[in-house]
Amino acid sequence: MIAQRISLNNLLAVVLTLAAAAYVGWKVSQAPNQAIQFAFNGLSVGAVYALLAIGFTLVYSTVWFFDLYYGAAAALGAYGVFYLRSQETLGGLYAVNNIVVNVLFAAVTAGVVAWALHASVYPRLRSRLQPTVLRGMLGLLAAGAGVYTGVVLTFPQELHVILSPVLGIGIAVGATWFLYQAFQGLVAGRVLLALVAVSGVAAAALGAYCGYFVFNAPESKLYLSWGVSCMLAGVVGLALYRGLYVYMRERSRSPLIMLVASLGILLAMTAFTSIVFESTPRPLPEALGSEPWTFAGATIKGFNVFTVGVALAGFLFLLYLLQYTSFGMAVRAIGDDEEVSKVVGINTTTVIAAVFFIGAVYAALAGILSGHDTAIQPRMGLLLLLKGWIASVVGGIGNLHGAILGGFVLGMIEQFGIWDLAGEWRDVISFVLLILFLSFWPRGLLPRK
Amino acid sequence: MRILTWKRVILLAALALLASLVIACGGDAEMDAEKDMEEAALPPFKIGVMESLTGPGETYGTVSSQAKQMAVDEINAAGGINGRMLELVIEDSKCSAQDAITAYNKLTDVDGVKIILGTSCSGAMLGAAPLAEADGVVLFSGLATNPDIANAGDYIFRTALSDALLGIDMGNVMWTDGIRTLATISETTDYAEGVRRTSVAQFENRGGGVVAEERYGSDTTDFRTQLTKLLGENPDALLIAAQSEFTGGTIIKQVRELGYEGPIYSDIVPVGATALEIAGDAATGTKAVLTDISPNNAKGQEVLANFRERYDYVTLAWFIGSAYDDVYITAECLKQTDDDQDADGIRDCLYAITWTGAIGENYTFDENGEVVGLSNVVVEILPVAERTEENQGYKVLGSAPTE
Repeated sequence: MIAQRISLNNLLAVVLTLAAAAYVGWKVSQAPNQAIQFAFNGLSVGAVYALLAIGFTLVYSTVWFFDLYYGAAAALGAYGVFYLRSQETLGGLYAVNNIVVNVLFAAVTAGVVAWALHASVYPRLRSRLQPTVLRGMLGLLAAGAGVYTGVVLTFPQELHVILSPVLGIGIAVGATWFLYQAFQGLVAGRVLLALVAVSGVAAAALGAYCGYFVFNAPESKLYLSWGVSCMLAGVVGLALYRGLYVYMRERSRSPLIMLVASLGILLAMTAFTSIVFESTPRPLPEALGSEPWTFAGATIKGFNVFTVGVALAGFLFLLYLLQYTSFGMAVRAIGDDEEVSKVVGINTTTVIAAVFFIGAVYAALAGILSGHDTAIQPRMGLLLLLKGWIASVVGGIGNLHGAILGGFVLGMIEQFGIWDLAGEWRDVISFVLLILFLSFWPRGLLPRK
Repeated sequence: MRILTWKRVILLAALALLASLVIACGGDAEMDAEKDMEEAALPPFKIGVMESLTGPGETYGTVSSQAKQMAVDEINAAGGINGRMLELVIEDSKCSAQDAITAYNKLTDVDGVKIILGTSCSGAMLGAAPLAEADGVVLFSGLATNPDIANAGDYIFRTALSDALLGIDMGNVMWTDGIRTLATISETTDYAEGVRRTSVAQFENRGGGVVAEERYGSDTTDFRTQLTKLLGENPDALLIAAQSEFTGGTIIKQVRELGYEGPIYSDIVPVGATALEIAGDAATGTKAVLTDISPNNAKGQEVLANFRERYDYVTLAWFIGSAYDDVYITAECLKQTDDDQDADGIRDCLYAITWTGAIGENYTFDENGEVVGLSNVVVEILPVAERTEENQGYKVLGSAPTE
């Protein structure tokens, strides 16, 4: 009986797929140029969906609940860029700088940095320094980070100047650490120390040069604002996790309660965005690659190619992180069984916090790229969230490879699906696809192992 | 029994509170009235304003309400009307019939106005017009252009030119330029749909054909799929009828990004300052049929200069002039009737008036409340480098050709 039903399901699915393929094949043979154009459009939107689905998959397959803040993070990222850049660009039509927003984000950043320091640095230095001195120092650091964020948000015209020292120091530290990791496998002992010391000087020079370069490059402000927005979205994600989800997870194990709570957050943040920026769509300033390139009678913007590249790079980075680092191992362990991970000594709170941060950064990046490609509006968060979710269902929920595949597949189907329908049907097609997949292939194209 | 006693105590306390509030408020009101009587012997004339201050029509709604405020301040600075000040009560009608009705009810019920200047969107105008007509409230718009407004009623006036005229001009311009096949993309609003319908009707009258048409909702941001479909039909030209500057500008940008190099025609909205900022160089060469304040119109240029000085920007110049004239025309009628509650008097005055203001000379209103004596012009968008605040980004090619 069951076997019969499954075979019926399969049969129906095969028939549907064949019908769709035949239809698309027929349309393609009718107008090949237009088909290529649709494919390019599908790639452009698919890359954004893929990016969303990747980050979504990371968070979902670790904590197993739908964090709807994810959508708000996408909108936050896009509006962050708008907030930082709209005063100078776009003819100054949309100048907006709100002291309440600046103070709010400064406070959130200070709180998150304080917690991060408390969770990472405090336990290690506790035995060496007096607790009061240590607390005071860390508190000062956190307050400094808060004030710095406030300054960045208040003076977006000077973004390149304000960020250049931090960028330089960050690059120097990052390069030293990278070289240290690289040398570690080759040599040991004093030779290693000497090598690191030498390379540290070189890294410092590199950092200084980069900082100086940014200092003198006002045109880099747009891209710096991308970084700032992603960081802010990540910081807010962290704050929500540490300030809300941790307690909720302790009290109730039901993912449904978390879902409702995060829905509340999504709606509240959408309303907040509408209040600060108004609810109508807005453009983002021109980014790189606005020139259209023509291939075989169809055109694609350089920026869209860049977006596809970002999606692929984001995928590879996450793949590397999950498969080849100890952090990734911890993430996968938590995804398999959180209790046992705790028992074997993984600091689950910190690891999950990092996962939330990365997830929010991915969402923000997707929001920014989509915003530059088309436009931004407060409810874009919900739309992107739904598309990211559909993409991960199509690809196979919880599977990273499935997520990127699902993103591009969804993008393509959306485009080709409305060939003979009016444009308004695009979202309907996405949801029909979702229903079909939930009915016939609930585990998606590439099921999680 | 005990519970009952408690209830009574609470009830009594509540009653006492209410009574004290009533007394306190009554006292305040009396005092306020006395104060008003002392301060000004004559209360100001109150007229309502409804414009789309937020939402898709915010650009022109905002310009329009700012121009009206400027006109009112000028009138008041010059001593008011018959010694009485003029006061605007401004409400946001967004760009929808529903919000316009809410705003209308607030203005008539709460503020008790009998003259309303507005509103900016045709859909909103068509929503509020039946109510105004039934209540005998004058509804006087500087911006709403849908042809159906002509027959909306006896109390409905406008200085905006009907889309029927715009459509005829647009159809003729496209035909004269040698366009034979057309693709259209329009926003699903009363105004944009009106522009599309009337333009296409005239274009088809002349012998042209529409090969593809697409429609979109006001909050759409990605038009590439729809545009790809339109371009797949290889039309001679693309006609854009948009309600919001944002979508108009975005369509122009995205269609050029898709590699389209043919001509683009549009109404005034996709060539507003915001739309041009979004579209950038993609908009260069776009032809639009619109109403414009001629450089030779001294009064109009003076108003624009004052507007720029006051608000530090100018966009949609004709809308500024139109809104500005509406206030002065109303002020002239108020001078004659000397009563802001006499809607019938104002209506009769409007039917009889001949006005020379910022948007033109010696224009009048016909029996439908439609403005007579103004006309459209054809403009072409300049390259980004040549766009200035003075030329608003376009050069005027002249009046629209006729058959």
